[in-house]
Amino acid sequence: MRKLLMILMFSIFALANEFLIKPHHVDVKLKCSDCHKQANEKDYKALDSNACLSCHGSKEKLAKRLDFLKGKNPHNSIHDNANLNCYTCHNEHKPSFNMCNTCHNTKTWMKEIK
Amino acid sequence: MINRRNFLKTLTGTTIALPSILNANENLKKDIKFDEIADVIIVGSGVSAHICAAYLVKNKLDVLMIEKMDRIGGNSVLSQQDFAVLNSDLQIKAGIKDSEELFLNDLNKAGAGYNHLEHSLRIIRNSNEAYEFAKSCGVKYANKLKFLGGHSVARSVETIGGGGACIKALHEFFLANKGRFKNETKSDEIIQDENAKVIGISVRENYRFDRNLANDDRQNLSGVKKNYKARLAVVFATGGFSRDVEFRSIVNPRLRLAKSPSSLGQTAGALKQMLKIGAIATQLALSRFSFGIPTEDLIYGIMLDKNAKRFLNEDGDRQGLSNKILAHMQNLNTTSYPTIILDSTGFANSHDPNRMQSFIIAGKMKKFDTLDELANHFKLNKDELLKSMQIYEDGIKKNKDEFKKDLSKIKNSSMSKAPFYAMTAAPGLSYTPGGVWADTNMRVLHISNYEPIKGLYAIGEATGGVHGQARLTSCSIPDCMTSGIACAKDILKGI
Ligand SMILES: Cc1cc2nc3c(=O)[nH]c(=O)nc-3n(C[C@H](O)[C@H](O)[C@H](O)COP(=O)(O)OP(=O)(O)OC[C@H]3O[C@@H](n4cnc5c(N)ncnc54)[C@H](O)[C@@H]3O)c2cc1C
Repeated sequence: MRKLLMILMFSIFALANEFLIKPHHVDVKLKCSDCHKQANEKDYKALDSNACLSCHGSKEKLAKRLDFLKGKNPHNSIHDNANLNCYTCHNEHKPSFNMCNTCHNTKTWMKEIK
Repeated sequence: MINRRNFLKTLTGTTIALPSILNANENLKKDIKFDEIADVIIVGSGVSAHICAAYLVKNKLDVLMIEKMDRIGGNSVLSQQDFAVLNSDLQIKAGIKDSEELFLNDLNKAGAGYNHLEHSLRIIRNSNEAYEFAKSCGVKYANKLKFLGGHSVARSVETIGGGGACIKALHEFFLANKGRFKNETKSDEIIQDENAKVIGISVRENYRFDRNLANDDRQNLSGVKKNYKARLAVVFATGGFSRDVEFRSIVNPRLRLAKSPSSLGQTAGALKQMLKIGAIATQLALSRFSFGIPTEDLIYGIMLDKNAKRFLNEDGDRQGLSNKILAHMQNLNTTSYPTIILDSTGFANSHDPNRMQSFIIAGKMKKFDTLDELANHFKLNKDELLKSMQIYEDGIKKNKDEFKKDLSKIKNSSMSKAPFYAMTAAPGLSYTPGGVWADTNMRVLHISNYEPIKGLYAIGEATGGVHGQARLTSCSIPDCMTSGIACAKDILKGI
């Protein structure tokens, strides 16, 4: 029980340092409030895809840029077309997650995702 | 932001919110406030959900389909969707003689008597209607038949673009016919009226599945609770539970060790919701495996466990081999999968060397010039590896295999000619044959009297007892589609 509590306390402290911003977003000087529109920090919520697309353009545009990957285009794949939300794979405050990699070895065609 | 107090509160919340299983009365709510209403609510967005929904909207019903994941289409969009059909236009054109008896014979053989006859016949007799209906909704099929393992004639049609294209077409059809869809909306509980008729579901909107949780169904607290009312019926098209390690280990401890190529959301949560109001669980311990390599090629090589020892006859189907592998891993008390090794003669004997090459390109299979490299890569003891290979070679010379492999079938494959080819042999649980028990109109039956639970249907992989011991290949799609149509027809009949 004591041990459990220690782990809990640790994770609470860890939360405060968790909201790091990815280097490419630091480069363009993004601040928390550029994405999280709520007035008060306490009210910040996880974003939906529209927040990403307000800078990155439409899903179609993003898909087009990876067209050369043909059926293996993660933004327009044979399984999901362009239906996925950005956050299914991309995370801002923690490492991203390559969902294709759960079934396929993506090393041969994909870069590591940011 | 989560502060400490809230954080602890959420944690205690998880423990007290645990549902009391089989206490149906708590679902019999009278004055409940509903946030949405539809004629039919379909839970899930795979091929069974979409076919049922397409049939209903075509008949002018107001249908609301919900999906807990961000992703539309569950396992159906990962699937190749090979589709066994009796007397399709393609069979007739090719002059292939097929019959109900032949098809039934194939299903029974694979099902080993665990398959319920009435459901086998439901699939066989309605497969062509389902195929024609799917075409009428825009799903495209290749102009040739596949002759797949376990089938006595060529009868499987090939979905162009696989499951992704199929679901895309059906989804567009559904929306164009005024169907309504919400993803990231999870069914949590079935709502019944005072007569135990199912009248809706309690859901959470803006739900975000969390793959990092050991059990998303129990631990994920995200989303906003809402109640949805269904005027006519609630349909569970919620798929299998092949990704639910916790649950599948309970129903069959051997399944704990299997990998799964399934969609991350294949958990048992929806099944539990149905069981909680009295549905019958059937054949949950059964499994269906896929394998990284065509299993008919394994006969040309050897399979070694983590101690670099052979432990089986490599000549077998994927179901048999997978079970033997998992049993052996249980015996060795290990989580390491065995290694498949072919030498260059065995590799050249494989029935589709181009496909084997593609495994190498994809990185699934590895090519080694020396056995040192191979042993290093797979962490096998080199001496034991050499010994096992030697014993195998000696067996070939004496025409007597340690594990009774029929050596006349190996086309002079050996185990000594470099380069060597090897890969991990991980049985992948891709389909769970068990589920809830339904009649052939797909009405879910109640455990106390075997009568339909009014207003509740289950279709597709969510049901159990349909395929039996080993589902015949390309027979889930006809099951999903014919059950979806049978359910839709029964709902329409009741109006
Ligand atoms: C890689 C692969 C290849 C395959 N190839 C073939 C093949 O060639 N031929 C063949 O016949 N079969 C094949 N199968 C099997 C077949 O594709 C599946 O059995 C079938 O697609 C299942 O369809 P379904 O509609 O029943 O369920 P699914 O397509 O799995 O859909 C169920 C959906 O319900 C959702 N859901 C679950 N619980 C809830 C809840 N509480 N609230 C909201 N939503 C929920 C899930 O997230 C999921 O999206 C294959 C399977 C795999 C994994």
